Amino acid sequence: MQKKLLENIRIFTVTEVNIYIRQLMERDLFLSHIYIKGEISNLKIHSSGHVYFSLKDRESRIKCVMFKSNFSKLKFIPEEGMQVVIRGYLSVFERDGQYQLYAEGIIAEGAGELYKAYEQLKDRLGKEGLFDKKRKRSLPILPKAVGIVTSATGAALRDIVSIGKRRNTNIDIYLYPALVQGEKAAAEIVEGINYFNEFKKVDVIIVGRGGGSIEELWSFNEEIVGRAIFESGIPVVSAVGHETDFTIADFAADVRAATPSAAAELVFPDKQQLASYINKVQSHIYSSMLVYIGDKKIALSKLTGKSSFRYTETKILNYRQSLEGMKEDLDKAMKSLLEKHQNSIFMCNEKLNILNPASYLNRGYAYIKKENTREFVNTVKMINSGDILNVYLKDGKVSAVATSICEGD
Amino acid sequence: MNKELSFEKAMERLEEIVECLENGKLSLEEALETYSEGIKLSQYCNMRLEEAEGKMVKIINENNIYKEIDLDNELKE
Repeated sequence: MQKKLLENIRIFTVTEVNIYIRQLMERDLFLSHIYIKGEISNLKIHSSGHVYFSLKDRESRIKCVMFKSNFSKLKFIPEEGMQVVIRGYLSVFERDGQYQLYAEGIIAEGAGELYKAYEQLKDRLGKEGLFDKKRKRSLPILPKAVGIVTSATGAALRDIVSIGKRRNTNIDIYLYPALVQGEKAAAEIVEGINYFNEFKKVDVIIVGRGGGSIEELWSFNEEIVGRAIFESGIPVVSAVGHETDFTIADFAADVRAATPSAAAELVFPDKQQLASYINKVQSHIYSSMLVYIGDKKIALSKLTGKSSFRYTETKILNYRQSLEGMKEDLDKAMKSLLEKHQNSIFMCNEKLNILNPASYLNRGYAYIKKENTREFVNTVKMINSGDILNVYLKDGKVSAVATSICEGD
Repeated sequence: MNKELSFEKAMERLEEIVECLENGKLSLEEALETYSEGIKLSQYCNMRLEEAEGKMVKIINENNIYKEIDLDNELKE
């Protein structure tokens, strides 16, 4: 009986039911795109990166899950007890038969999402020491080159360049153009800071943009921008928006300029001012030297009146006298030495004269060379009959032919 | 004078020199040396101030290949 009854009825599995309900909910226009406000509780960030929590009000709660891909897009991290509005859709987790809210976005209520994010990041980076006063460097007095990271078309660039050039025309300006608002802005600003650090062409970097809403200035509140400024080996001046705008970049920078124009005033030294300062120092050195020499002169004239100085003076005179005496003695000694040797020098000269072959020719001797040879003939063995011989006398040469040769006398 | 001497270091040294000369405790030789160093340094600082007209450069990043172009012309447009 019972069996028969069941034969006419369609029986479902648990899974089938859960799938059916899930499809029902997902097809529902109302549930598939919904905003729900409430308080976050039982927040768990799983190691997978997915986030599980409940959204509750006084009477009721809904289980919520936010997948890693959506969670990573949040500018802030949800906290226990936080009042939020969740954007998402409702569906069923089939395994548990549990319906839940799949969160795609979270908007912090009250303070506003961006402000909340800003506060949290500022707090976190501050605790990490990114804003420590003691690591702030002073700016170079006279930079050779200034790097600017900002939009190539913005007012900030024009302000910085025109004020910079007015104050000092000798400083090189390098612009790394970067978007300063929108999704890609933060990454491009970081690239600019890194570029200048890699290529080391500049002594100081200005990072900034003109005024705008908190959303427009947001890239300067991004963590990567704060960290790039913190890690820069080159001093960084931040120049974001107006005087009233404070960003993470401002806190991380070595110097915060209220506006881009103010940054130019801080970074570009006024040439005229510096020049007049140097001239002042120079004349200061000159006049202190004059004073110094004046003082020494007075001290000297006082000293010359003193007996100790007179004693020294006499001593010097004595030395000079004996020195002159010594010089005379030396002169005399040299003279007598020369005279003594003059005689022997004359003798040497005579000897040299006698040895000179020309003096033999004067006395009637001659020398002989065979025609076309360089050797002197000093034996009859060198001569054959018929050889032409050149006979050299003191005043000329005679060519002769050998007719007979006798060895010995 | 050393070309690589930074402007900051030169200015710092200049101020030391003024102080040294002012307190008058140097020997004559030291004073003369310090004085001539001071004059050289101030001339160096003046020279650094008058260095060639600064250039204006815009960096172009094309897939991490960097090019430099003249920024001056662009700003005039």
